[in-house]
Amino acid sequence: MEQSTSLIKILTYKLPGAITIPLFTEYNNRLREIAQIWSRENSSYRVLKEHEPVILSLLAMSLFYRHVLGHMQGANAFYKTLKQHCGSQQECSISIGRTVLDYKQQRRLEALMISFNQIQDKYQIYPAFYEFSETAQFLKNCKDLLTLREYETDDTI
Amino acid sequence: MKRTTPYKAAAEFEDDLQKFANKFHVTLAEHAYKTNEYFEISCYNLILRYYERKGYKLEVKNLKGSDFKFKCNPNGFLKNFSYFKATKTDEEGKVVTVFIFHNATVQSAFDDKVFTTPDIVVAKSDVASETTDHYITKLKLTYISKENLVTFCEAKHITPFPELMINFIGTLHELKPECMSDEEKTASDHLAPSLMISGTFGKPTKRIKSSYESRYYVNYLDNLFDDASVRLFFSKSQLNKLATLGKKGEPEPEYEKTDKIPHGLADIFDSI
Repeated sequence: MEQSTSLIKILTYKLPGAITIPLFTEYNNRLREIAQIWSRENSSYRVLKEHEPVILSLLAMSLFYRHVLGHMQGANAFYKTLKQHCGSQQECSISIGRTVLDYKQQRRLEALMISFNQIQDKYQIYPAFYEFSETAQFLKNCKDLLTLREYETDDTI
Repeated sequence: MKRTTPYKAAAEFEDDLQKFANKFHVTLAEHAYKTNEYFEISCYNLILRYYERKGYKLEVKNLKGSDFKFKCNPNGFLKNFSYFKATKTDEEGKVVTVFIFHNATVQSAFDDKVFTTPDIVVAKSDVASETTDHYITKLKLTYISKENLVTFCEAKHITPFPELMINFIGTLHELKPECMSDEEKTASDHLAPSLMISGTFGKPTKRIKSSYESRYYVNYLDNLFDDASVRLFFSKSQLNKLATLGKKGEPEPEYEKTDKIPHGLADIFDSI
């Protein structure tokens, strides 16, 4: 468990407290709930217990996406909508108060999203995976992932 | 590329996530401070894309050079900020135009001197009304008049809780009281007033959502981080389930112990 606690810490390194505090609170609450679900003898999710480090990594990844990356992706999507409707003006920017999300910043966000999407793609984690309210729903998503098989695709152009 | 699963390559999975965090920690730290604003931008974008899906043509208005000036709080004159115009020709050949603003102040439906500022406002006109009677000084307030208001949305970057959901009905009552009446409505493309939340509904808040959506012309939307919300908004079946100004939403069936929870896990839910 310690290893995966360090993963959430690595993922949230240097992020502001306004994000990390609720994120860690949710992470710890969900850990408690997972332990509670696994303690039930009739729980069908006990099969996941032997993969505990993976479950905790998936939880860290999910919460990181929901609290941080998902919204950056939203801003990036708006930038694309804006660019599409800016007509001949190729480079546009968004002023949010004193901060500006310009082409350069948007490219950095885009690079970040592409990199994260590659990880999702490699491990067959799709957006629906992050849709859960109850912890049991999260475990159900993890269980669905457990049944997926490895395969290879030819990505050469 | 080899597609695997986190279970089959556990160490590699964790290693990939760590490498990602190390590589992008500067970008993440830089942008994480703006998460609240990004969430509102994301919701605004969803509304734009909703109108696009409904056949409207979008046009950016009031760019400052090549800069889209996003109104991120209630202060400031509307004319100083950018917004979108959405236009569509309906089946009768009539051109329908609406303007989509962010943080535009709106006049109450009951009292001309009462105003509030929803996060997203859809209006019939982009000509803002003005008053100097709002503040203690003679500072001017620009607002969308009640006659010009089409619909509005509130975006909340928070985990939903009952008080938040019930408070939204107060705003609905003040700005769009007709959405609370059972009088027959004409068909409409416009999204009903909506509360857009980044967190996920739990069982108690889901009940409130179902109750209000069955009584009023209103939407409660959760899980609004980009990918999931795109699925919600843009799949045809989901789009048709949303409430508009002309029809109520189709509420999801309420969670029952026997149907949705697999393998007798319903009792676990109750124990959590």
